[in-house]
Amino acid sequence: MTATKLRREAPGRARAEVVDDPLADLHRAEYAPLVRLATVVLGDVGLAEQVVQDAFVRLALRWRGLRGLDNPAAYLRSAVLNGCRSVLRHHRVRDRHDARLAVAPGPFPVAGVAPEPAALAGEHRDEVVAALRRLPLRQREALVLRYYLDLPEAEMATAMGVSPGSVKTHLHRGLAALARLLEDVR
Amino acid sequence: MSTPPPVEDRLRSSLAAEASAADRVAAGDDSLGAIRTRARAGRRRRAAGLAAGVVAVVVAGAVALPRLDRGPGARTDDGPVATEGPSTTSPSSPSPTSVPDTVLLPASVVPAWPQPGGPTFTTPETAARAFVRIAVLATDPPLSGLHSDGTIDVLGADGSPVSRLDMRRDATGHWSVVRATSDRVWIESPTPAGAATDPISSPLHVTGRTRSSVVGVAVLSAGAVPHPVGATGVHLGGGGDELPSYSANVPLSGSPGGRGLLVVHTEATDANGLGVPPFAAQGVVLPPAAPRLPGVLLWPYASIAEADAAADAGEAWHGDPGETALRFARDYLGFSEMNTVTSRDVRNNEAWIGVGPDNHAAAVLHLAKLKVTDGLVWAVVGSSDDLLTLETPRYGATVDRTFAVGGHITGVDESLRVSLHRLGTSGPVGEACCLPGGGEKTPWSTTVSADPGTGPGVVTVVVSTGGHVYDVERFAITALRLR
Repeated sequence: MTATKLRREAPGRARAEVVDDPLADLHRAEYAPLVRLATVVLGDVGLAEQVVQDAFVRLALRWRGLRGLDNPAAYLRSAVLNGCRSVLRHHRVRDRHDARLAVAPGPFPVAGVAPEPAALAGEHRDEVVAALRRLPLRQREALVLRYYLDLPEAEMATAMGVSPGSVKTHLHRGLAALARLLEDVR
Repeated sequence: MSTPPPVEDRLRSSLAAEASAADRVAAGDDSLGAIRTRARAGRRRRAAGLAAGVVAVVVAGAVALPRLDRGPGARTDDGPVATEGPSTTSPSSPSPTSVPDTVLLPASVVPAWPQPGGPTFTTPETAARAFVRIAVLATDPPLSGLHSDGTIDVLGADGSPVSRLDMRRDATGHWSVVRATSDRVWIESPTPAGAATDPISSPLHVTGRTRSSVVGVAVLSAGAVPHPVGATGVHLGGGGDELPSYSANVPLSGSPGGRGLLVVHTEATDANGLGVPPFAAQGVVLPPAAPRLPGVLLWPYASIAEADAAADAGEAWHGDPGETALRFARDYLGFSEMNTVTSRDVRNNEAWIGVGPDNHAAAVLHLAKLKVTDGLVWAVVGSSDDLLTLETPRYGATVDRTFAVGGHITGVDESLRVSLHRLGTSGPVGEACCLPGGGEKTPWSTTVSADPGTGPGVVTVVVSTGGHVYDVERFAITALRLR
């Protein structure tokens, strides 16, 4: 599908016409899935949106635009993962928010106000996600790319910027570590 | 009993559920518009950077020539001072006529957020939304539009205002939040004016009034992604509309220095505890960042604050790492034969000092230099070991009162003694003796217990051997924390 854009012809006059707007097409197709991917990695929808927007801006700022990119979606995926990595490494915002939630009342849940009983499935999900967040970043990325996006190893390697062999290692170690952590929870 | 699903299946379903948190995010025109706007701004910056060299030459010439023409004392008139944001037609710059003068940020007012160098916002709504997300973790708060007095209301679940944000725009067209107020919770102390100029101290004493029975207080750093420096909760007996006072002491730790945010909030007003909680927030100046230490302070002080407050910190020997190391071995560990500094390696704020009886090197102690009011103080943080090592538990680990300890030893006919020492306590607070050892890098291990009554906190663990020529011919230390 091609986006429709207003092209200015002369001062004060504009007409609608069909022009090639690959950024809009890419945005329509990839923005929401990438936000979901970043949300899984970061655990925060707001931060995820920031990271994805940053990735789109970087793509738009390329000197040659989208030209010369065989797979802009893969480029974006890699940029989003880099952004997530940067956020997690430098700010560790989730861990700190968790620590804050542990001591402060409020939603911050307010102390004394009992939360709704969580459904069992939800508790199990939280266990898995919490265990996932304790894994080293690369292992976490590998597991998300495989078990959320179902990417083949070659595409995972491109997205993570590592060799396919490393992908296998991260996957294997990540899965083993996750199983151990979940076992500890039991 | 049913078999739990394989971890891969659990992971798949959990990730899908986690991703659904972002289901409401759609690829709307607003996000695409924001991307295009930022990309245009980036291109302009890039173009400006490329042109900078040329412009610099032109500007230098344009400025220099007229000034050369002026005589001494000629008045310089650089034109009117801009009081509005950029007046270009740039989409990222707000139109000067779209907002009233009342929202311009006076030079004397320091906004609460964002701090200089932080994120920038070209619309008041995006700044307000980001601020609420940081202050009370509300990801998509309902907001009113910008009022003519420069405020934006944060709306509760029922659509009524729960807090009000004072928004201001600076001369570059960027928006910031000066403070947040609410008619359900007030901050009376620290006052906004005082907190904006003087660094707060730990614990931060916060007082105010509230219509609620529960108050949460948080101090956040105000960086690009703020993080909590301290937080606490206050439960009040009353509630309702009688405006009870609240008072909280918030211990602060890990302050990065610079500007921060003080946020006080109550519970959400609707019956289900949903929606944005009423909150008040103002800027504060955080305590300076603590210097990074190379390890756990073991002796003679347990913290920089303690060293700063100590009456004897000004004594001359504190400024000498060699004398400090000797006193640590002799006075604190009780190795009375230690009388010589056998080696000395001082680099910046750290030192590695060999100590021993006569000229026999028994250990190389690792010290850190601390800056205190009275000058400089050296403190022991560990040891650098070779022939006798103490490797488990790892340095800085937290352990139960009884724990296994081990390492490696190279020697002949050795007898190892492990002892625990606690700052402020005379003599060991735990001991294990006498473990035979010897050979070439032979592992050793034993179990040691802290005496009953030894509370949680840091202990120095020492392993020593000797008895051939001197009582103590080799020792190594590590730092552990007791639960």
